Amino acid sequence: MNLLSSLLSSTTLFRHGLLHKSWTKLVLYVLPSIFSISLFAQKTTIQGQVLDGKSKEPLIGANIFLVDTYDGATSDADGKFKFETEESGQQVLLVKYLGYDSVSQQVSLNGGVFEFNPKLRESFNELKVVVISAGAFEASDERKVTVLKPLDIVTTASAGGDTYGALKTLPGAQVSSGDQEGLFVRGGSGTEAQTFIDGMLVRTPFTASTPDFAARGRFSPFLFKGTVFSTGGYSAQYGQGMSSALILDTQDLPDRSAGTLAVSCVGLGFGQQKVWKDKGRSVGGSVNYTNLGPYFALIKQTPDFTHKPQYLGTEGFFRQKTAKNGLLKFYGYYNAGRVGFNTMAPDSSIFGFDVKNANTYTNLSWTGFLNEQWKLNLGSSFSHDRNDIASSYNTGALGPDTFNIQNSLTQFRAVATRFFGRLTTLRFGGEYQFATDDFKNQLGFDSKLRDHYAATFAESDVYITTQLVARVGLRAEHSSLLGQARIAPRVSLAYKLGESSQVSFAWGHFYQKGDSLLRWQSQFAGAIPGFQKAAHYILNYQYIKDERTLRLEGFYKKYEDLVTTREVLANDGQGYAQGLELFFRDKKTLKGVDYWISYSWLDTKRQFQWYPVEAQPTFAANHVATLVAKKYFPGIRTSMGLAYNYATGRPYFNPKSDFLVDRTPDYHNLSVNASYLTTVRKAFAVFVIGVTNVLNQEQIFGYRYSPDGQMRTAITPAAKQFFFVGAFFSWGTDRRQEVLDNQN
Amino acid sequence: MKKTLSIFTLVLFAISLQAQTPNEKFVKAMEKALSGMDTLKTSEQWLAASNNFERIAQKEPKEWLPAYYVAFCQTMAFNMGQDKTKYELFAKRAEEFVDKADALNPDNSEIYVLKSMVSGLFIRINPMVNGQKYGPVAGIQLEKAKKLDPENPRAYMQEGATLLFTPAQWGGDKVKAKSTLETAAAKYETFKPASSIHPNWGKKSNEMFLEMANK
Repeated sequence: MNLLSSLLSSTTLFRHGLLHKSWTKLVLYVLPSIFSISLFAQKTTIQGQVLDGKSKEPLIGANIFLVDTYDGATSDADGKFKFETEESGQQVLLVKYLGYDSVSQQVSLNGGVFEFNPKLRESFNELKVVVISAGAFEASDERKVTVLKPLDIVTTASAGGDTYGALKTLPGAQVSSGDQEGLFVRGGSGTEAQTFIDGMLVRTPFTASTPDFAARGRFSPFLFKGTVFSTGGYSAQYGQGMSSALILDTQDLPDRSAGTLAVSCVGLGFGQQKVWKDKGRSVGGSVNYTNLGPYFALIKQTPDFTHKPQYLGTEGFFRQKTAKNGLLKFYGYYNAGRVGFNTMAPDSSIFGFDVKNANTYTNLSWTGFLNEQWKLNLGSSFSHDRNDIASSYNTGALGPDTFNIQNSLTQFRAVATRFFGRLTTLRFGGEYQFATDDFKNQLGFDSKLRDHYAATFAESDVYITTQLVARVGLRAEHSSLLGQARIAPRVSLAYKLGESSQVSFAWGHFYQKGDSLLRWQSQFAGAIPGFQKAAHYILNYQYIKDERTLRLEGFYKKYEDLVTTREVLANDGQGYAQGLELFFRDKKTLKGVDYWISYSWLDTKRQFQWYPVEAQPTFAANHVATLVAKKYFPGIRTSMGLAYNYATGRPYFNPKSDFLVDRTPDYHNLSVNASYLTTVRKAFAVFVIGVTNVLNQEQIFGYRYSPDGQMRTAITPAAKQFFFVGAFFSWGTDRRQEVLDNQN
Repeated sequence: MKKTLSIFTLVLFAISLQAQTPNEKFVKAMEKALSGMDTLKTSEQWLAASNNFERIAQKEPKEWLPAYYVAFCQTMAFNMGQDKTKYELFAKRAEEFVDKADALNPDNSEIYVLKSMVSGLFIRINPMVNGQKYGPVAGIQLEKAKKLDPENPRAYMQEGATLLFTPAQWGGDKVKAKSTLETAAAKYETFKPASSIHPNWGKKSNEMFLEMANK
């Protein structure tokens, strides 16, 4: 417009002949006005220095410019910049710098020099914000400050591809519990550690239990994008685990359609998933067949297997993006199998055991955002587990006892989260669980337990500053079976000491039902026992810098109202656990080597179940240490790993000495593995070999005595070593063009 | 009168300068940002160049070239960078801008070459985790780049470089690398960019790679 009016005015002048009379006037008055908007437009110099608002250090390489113009500059080594612009009037100056919040300012330009000294604030960066670390180990690809990555779970040598196996290499967990499934955390029994998938309790996370041999986790580690292993002091969102919570979050929409094939010395697996990126949908499924028959034929096992372990499993997924930035997820699982064996009892009689198991698990959840402030999680889950057991365990005779054990869990859960600013949140919600537990044996014992369990909770993460956070939560629980309600307060605090270190503290009360012990209620006098209780006190120090992590944690735990089975079923037990733990992970010192060391010292005693006095329980070792090391050799595309697990002896029951004063020999297990990554045609392939207990050391978990106490047999693994050979293939199943279109 | 006329000419000249079309201004700004790009060495220099293109990109949100060059400069800043903690920032920014360019100008061979390079950055950040996801994608992107313009020398150079720097166990092949880089060299000889501001880089790098392949 300026241009046009000048043009008009100059032609007008010309036409009116004014130019003839005095072109000098023109030079004096008109030309400058033209030039000011054209050739020699009035220039403004914009200059200054960009500083970090906090440290006052200059920021090098910041981009300073006038919005919607080409004019701008980059700050130099002193954070200084200078540029000229022909723009005038109201403009917007913007400063951008990678990793910092942009700063914009309205300016009025009218020539001369404009001084601008912006101070930038570092963007929200989770590395700079304190997080509650007391009692929690997290494995996630999404969050940066985690001790583990999901891949660590599958590449840890002693884990055997089992999530629980990998978690045993972390402090707080027992490593020598090869005779029972579950995580034995800080003096707690295996049943005191609960597993949650997408917030919901999993009743039977392990495959069918057999006496003296630990079962594996049911779910593949590849199902989960995030894992939090809490060894205490966990969030009020979760309940019914007195010592530990394993919180697993299932994967969201996968990146691409793919097929997978797994072939190993113990079975076969085949999976397919299809992704429609445009529709935000994916559907997938897999079939897995496990048969240890061929392996047992090759490698001799101590027990005489009458039915070699054999399982057939199938899984299905469905994921759909919905309105409200939401995601609907369904996961369904069914697995059935059988295992049977005979072993020699201490009195030379044969102990026989045979279990047929069928397990169903489903999980349906929806997460979405109602608006910027509100997030909603809704979930429901159903599971059913059936065991048909034949055994000669009780009678000692060869004629089998039979048991039929069935349990189910139906649950609903809703959690609302309100965000206040970037960090502070308030969560509240509730859950309802209907649990059944049916137990029948051939002697006519028939127990049917039904429990309606309801809980409600509220919890807030209050960031007082980015350095100080408090998590305050309250959980109220009620069980119809127990006829009891409890309120469990939980508090955590974390304070960032410096850029790389922080301290946190956690305290809380944790209640739990008496689990399968309650079945025997009808055999005992008295009412069904109430909630058992544990109180946790945890102090944690964490240092993370340059690929090095150090964690030190001390804890004290007090148990009350543990269920005892001496004369009556009652809440007469109690106990304590205290200890110190160390975790050190280092990916830096040795080039290409990633290793971690865990050490736990545990002092614990308890009186529970049938214990006549308070004693260190059979599942607790005083000292546990682990070394895990991995090295990736890019030249040969091979990753090698080793894990060394050590534990001092565990107490065992010896009828001839005082109660639980004897200790098994120390436990040693050195495992190694190697994975070779390659391509076979268009498929990604990983070839894996692994051996546990390379040094072939004797591992004794305890002893079983004859009724007269004269003879005993050692409880050992079914074989000293386990060899694993397998290959995993995955390939994109879309036509190539589709893959391309999908990832746009 | 003569003087009047000359003033008139001067005024017209001034006006004509002022009346430079927006497109000419854009091209000028781009040419300026592109000048001296072959002399850039350090990560900081590439980031400064990236800033220049980003300013143009925000002024010309409908043009794909500024976004393309931002992504290219971020890729180079990554390549020249020493500070591993910044790799992810660079790669994510490169991805953001190459996607922007692709949205503005779909099915462009040059953009697909760059996309493939950006996928390579993610693989280098963490081969174990990202290799599975980005490995096949990078290959497919390059194939698409060649399909869209079989005469694009950068597609062949990128393919050759990938073959050259990938270990043999993982599909790398020095002999194949050499012949592919030679194809690229031949295509560089005949390549004519669509304009002064269209992608026209890589000839020297290709010569360097070829030298390495010959060793």
